[in-house]
Amino acid sequence: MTKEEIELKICEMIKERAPIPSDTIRLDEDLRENYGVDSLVLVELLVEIECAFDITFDSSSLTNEFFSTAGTIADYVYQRLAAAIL
Amino acid sequence: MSAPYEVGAAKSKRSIPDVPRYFVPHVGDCFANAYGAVAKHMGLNPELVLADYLCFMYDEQTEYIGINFLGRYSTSVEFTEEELNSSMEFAYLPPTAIYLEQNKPGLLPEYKDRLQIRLLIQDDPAIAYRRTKELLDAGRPVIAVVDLHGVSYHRAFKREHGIHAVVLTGYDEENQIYELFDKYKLSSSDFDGTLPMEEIMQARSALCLQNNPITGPFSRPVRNLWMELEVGEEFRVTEERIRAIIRQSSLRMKGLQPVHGRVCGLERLEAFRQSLLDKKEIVFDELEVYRFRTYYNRSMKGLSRQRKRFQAFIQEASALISIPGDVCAELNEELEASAMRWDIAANLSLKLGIARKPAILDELCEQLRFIREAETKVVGYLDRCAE
Repeated sequence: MTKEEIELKICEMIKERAPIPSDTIRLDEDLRENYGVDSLVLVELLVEIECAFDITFDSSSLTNEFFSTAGTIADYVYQRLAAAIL
Repeated sequence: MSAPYEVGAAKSKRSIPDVPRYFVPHVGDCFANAYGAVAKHMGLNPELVLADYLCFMYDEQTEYIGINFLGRYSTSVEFTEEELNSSMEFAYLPPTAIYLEQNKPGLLPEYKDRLQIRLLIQDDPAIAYRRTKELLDAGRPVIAVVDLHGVSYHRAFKREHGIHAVVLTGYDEENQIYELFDKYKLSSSDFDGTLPMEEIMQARSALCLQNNPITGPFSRPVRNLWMELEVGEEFRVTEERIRAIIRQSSLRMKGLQPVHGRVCGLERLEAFRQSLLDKKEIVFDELEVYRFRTYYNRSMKGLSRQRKRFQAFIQEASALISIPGDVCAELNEELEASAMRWDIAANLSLKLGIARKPAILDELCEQLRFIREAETKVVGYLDRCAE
């Protein structure tokens, strides 16, 4: 899976769950501020991402501070998948 | 339900200017947030006068946890003196009382060195209306409690019930509106404007129906609950009281000062951790899912905020009492670490409730172990601060 494909899929998943509706999810925009993704929604989203990509997030990453944007989630997933291939 | 005017009385209005729209991300709950706004309006520093003791409580039987009281589900808005006074050094809260017009509340002389916070109820909306008006006319903002189900600006409107505190700052009888604000952003509240009196009066006298797998269905009548804050004539932020918060926190965390007859602190934290490890073999039914996804998630978020709040208190206190610089910095660091770990634990609890994978319990307990380490260090630094 390419980085762009991961980004696209994650943005789609955020779009479906975001309490503040938006046509597009920008990779660099704050999830809480712009899309209403609070810690509750974030954890639900991360559980869904774990299932979709068959990965597990580190406990310490489960915060709005760590995953403040769609881009940071996509980077994390990309690195996890790349590490699994190696 | 319309505003109950006296026949022939002139319609009046009043607006209190410049009531601080107080909110800090580490505030305890909507009540504390409203107290903060009114305390600031009275010229007080909420970070000091509303500071609560560092503590942790856990009860094996009910599996409830808490800070200075167990986070249980209340079926009423009536609280005893003991229930209301386990958290704050600077404040005194008399037991919830029924407001009577012929016997208006005043300052309690025996607590003249405290910020007095009165919780008042009155089932007659006309009497509650008149007292609200009287307080606003006297330039005193009113902390009024509403059922979120009935306030149109909130996302819970007509969807979920929940008791919530707002600050009324004015009224206009001609236009039948209240001026109010609600800045408790932790529950997506960010309102500052006017609402019809009828809407507020109905929300203040609602039944507030609740249902969850821990308690089953119950109602919690709001009964027009409101709070009145006053400072006693001898109220002072003194070095002695600041040190008392620090000393009391240390005693509670070391299990040397029971709260509501219960030992609290680090030993309870370990007991809680062990109890979670024992859950690895259980079936995650609806009750357990709710416990982790909602109850523990919220409670642990509250613990995370309290550690941040205590950090803010120490910061303010260090300007007023002498604390060695290195102790202050170390204390700050460990409280920060504890707050972060409680936040992660809260999210792991939520994750466990969603994914229902018992393996997540190991991660959760690992976080609680880190918390215990950090808070053990905190207690050591508190003892040095109290010297």
